[in-house]
Amino acid sequence: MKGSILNDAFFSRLETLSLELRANLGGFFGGKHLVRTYGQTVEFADYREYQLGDDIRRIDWNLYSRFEKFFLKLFTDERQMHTQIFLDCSASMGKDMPEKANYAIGVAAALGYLSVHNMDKVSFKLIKSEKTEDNFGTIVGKRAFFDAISTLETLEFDGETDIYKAVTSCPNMGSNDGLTVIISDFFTDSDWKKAVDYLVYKKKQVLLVRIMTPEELDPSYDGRVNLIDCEANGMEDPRNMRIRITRANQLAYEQALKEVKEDMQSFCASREADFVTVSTAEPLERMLFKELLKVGIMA
Amino acid sequence: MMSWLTPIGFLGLIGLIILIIIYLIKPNYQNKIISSTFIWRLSLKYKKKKIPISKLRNILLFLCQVLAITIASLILAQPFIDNSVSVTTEKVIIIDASGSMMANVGGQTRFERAVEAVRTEADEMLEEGGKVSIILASTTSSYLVQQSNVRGDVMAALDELVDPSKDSACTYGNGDIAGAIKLAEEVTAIIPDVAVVLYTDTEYIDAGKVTVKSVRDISDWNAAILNVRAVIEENRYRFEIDVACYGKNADIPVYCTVAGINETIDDLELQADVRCVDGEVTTLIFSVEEEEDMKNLYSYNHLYVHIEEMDTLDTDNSFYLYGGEKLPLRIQYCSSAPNNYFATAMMVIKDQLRNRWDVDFVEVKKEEQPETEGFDIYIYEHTMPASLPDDGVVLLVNPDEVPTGAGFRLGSVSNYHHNEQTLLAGDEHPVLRNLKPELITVTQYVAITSYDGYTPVLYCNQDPVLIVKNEPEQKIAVLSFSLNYSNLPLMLEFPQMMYNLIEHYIPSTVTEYVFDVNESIDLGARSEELNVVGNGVDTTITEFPSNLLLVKPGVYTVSQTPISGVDIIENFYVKIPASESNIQGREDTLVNPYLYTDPVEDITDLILYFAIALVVLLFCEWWLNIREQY
Repeated sequence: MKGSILNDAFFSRLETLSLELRANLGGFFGGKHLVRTYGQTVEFADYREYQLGDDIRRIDWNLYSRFEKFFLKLFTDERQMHTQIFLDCSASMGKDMPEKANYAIGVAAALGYLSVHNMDKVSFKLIKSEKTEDNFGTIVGKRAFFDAISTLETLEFDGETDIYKAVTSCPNMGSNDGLTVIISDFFTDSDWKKAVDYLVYKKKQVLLVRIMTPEELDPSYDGRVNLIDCEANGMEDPRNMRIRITRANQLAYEQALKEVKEDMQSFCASREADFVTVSTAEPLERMLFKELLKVGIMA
Repeated sequence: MMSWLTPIGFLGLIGLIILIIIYLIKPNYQNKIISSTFIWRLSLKYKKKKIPISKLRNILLFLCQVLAITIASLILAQPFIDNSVSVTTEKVIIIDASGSMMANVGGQTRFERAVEAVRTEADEMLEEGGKVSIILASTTSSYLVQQSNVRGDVMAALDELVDPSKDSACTYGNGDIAGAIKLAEEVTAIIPDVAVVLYTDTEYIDAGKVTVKSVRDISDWNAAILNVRAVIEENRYRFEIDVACYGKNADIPVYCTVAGINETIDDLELQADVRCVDGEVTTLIFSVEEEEDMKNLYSYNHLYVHIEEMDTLDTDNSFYLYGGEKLPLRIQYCSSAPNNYFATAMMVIKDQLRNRWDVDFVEVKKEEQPETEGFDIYIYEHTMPASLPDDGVVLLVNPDEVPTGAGFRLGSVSNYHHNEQTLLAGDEHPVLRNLKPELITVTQYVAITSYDGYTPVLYCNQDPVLIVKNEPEQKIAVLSFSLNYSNLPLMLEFPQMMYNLIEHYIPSTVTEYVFDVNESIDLGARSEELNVVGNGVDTTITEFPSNLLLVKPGVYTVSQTPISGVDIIENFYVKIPASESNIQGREDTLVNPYLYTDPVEDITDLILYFAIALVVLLFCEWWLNIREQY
């Protein structure tokens, strides 16, 4: 992976960017993200009148000489954020489509690298079945990050997942501490919206990355086909479909796809979550520098 | 009633089987593994309700495809409706009567076989109540019977063709097949669908609508001497003999007799074997290099070449070549003031006539007396003889007096020393052939005042200066000016004029010695009568130049007695054309009789209608295919 997509040149270009997270996040001490709270940095933020108990070393004596009142000089605060990346490891994400899996891992790795490069913490949560696996723990620093990435490359995508249960049951979710990314194709019957509500409840900044292959966006097959869902259990699984695909079916597919996308967009907008749909045909760099910049998660 | 021009087009119906097989082996549902059917399941609610006629549409689609293949096959078969009304059964039968039809196997010639076959065919036709026209394609084509349904007439005409008491109806030359086809149009103009049958030994690659029936026999073969040439190279004779064999390869012994060598009665016998390849012409050459005896051969009376093969056509097994001896032409020139003009002109003429005459030019010296007999042409210049010779042509140039019995009178001398006069031509005359009299000028001449019996040829100031007389007893030409006072001897016109005078007074009887059958020969004569004998011809010709059609092969003898009283006998040979020796002849195309009626009027071509139906069906199929997508 690192040799093909996430190579040194790509990471060098990523280093020119940074995650633009919301300022109302709490985060942890240290880090580079400016937040609304006042802190101990050298960047001036505001004045306020002295109150009892304030540190008298922060009184601005120049103002006192002019107004004969005590004013304190306030400075901005910078915090360290925690980026949690939930990666859907269901079969639909890559059992028979390695390019989709590679793309998902690439997105996860790119976002993770942006975090560690900006002194943030990163954790990769692999959604499998109804649970999440946190094989790498909280990653701080590039060395630990690359170790995690090399392990991610061997990841197997299989079975089916329930995003809602996996996210809500994830331990150590924290609160108001940074960005949570869910990378999936969202081809699931589980109520992923509740997962988003849960994350919003946890005051997380949420980003949904939906990855689709060109074949999923515009099916090239037609005629009489048995559509076998790769997550299905055998040929008799109700998810499998016997269908004669005509032009009308293709139009209906397009319409359904559009409806799903619009539904996700409107839901995310209502929850102030960011949503990005990408095709694996689109180069990963272009997705990062175009789509994520467009939604404002990068700067 | 609909018919088909090319029923083989129905093979296209095999496409129906292929179509059915395609439907049978067409896979029903193919497995397709996709990442998820989530969207497909959602899409079902957006899918329009199916119309129950989809099955009917499928049937219609299949029917369209079946019909399209069927119609395409019908188009390939070229359907049409024949509107013509069949009249009666009638035939035009053409019998090739060319020379090659005389090839004989087992005592029966091809021509006789053809007549027998025609007899049978005509008999059948007449029994069916039809009519028969028979055309004989001989030298010219002619109807034996035309649209006859009378059996007696037809059989009588055919019997006459093979009547042994009469000459063969077959020509020795080429048959007029094209003329016969043209003649057949008299019948095809009335009945366009009449069958035209040609009985011939020629093979046609494309005979069109004419039915060609071959009368060849499998054992036919022919060895032939096609041509013989005597070529003189470096004063040596070389004989070239074209030999060919048709029907098989063979080694042919060729015998050549050179008769009357060097004006003696001696003969020279030559023989060689020729390896002949079927259909190819081989040239056999007898020359000094191969035949030592030919070293001393300077002239010959004739060449007789023959082969002794038992082939099926014997008219081309022998060949005579004449022309090996040139007749002498003696000219005497006598002048009181000799010049080189005549000698120079004679050198040119001698070269021109070297193949026909052995020209002997004798100039009388001053101290000698001119001969008055024994020459073919006497030329007197200035000083005239007391009396004219009576055994040859006399040319009097610038006569100082009129010889006794010459029959003309001279006037005074006209001088134009500083004003040269141009000559003018009289009526058209052979002596003026290729001459331009307006280029000839004189400065002095003697007017000829009286010239009874003469023909004036050239004039100067309306005075005749060249007159000619060509009577059986008297052949005189008078040129009444001195060559020294004219530009004539310095021009090409002078040898041309001398040549014309010789041709006018002493014409060559024959100019060639080999002819093909049905060729015409132009005969000239130096006497009043010319006898031609040979091969059924025995005729005396008294008007010249004369034209004689040669219809039979063989040697012809021409004899005459000129003014000198010495008989002249010449021969020439008539052969069958080389194309007739080729008894395995093959032609590319046979010109067909012109159809006077427009066949389009008789036939309704249905291709257009079928094509329209095919286009409609294809459109329907396309439309059904499109509808099936929704």
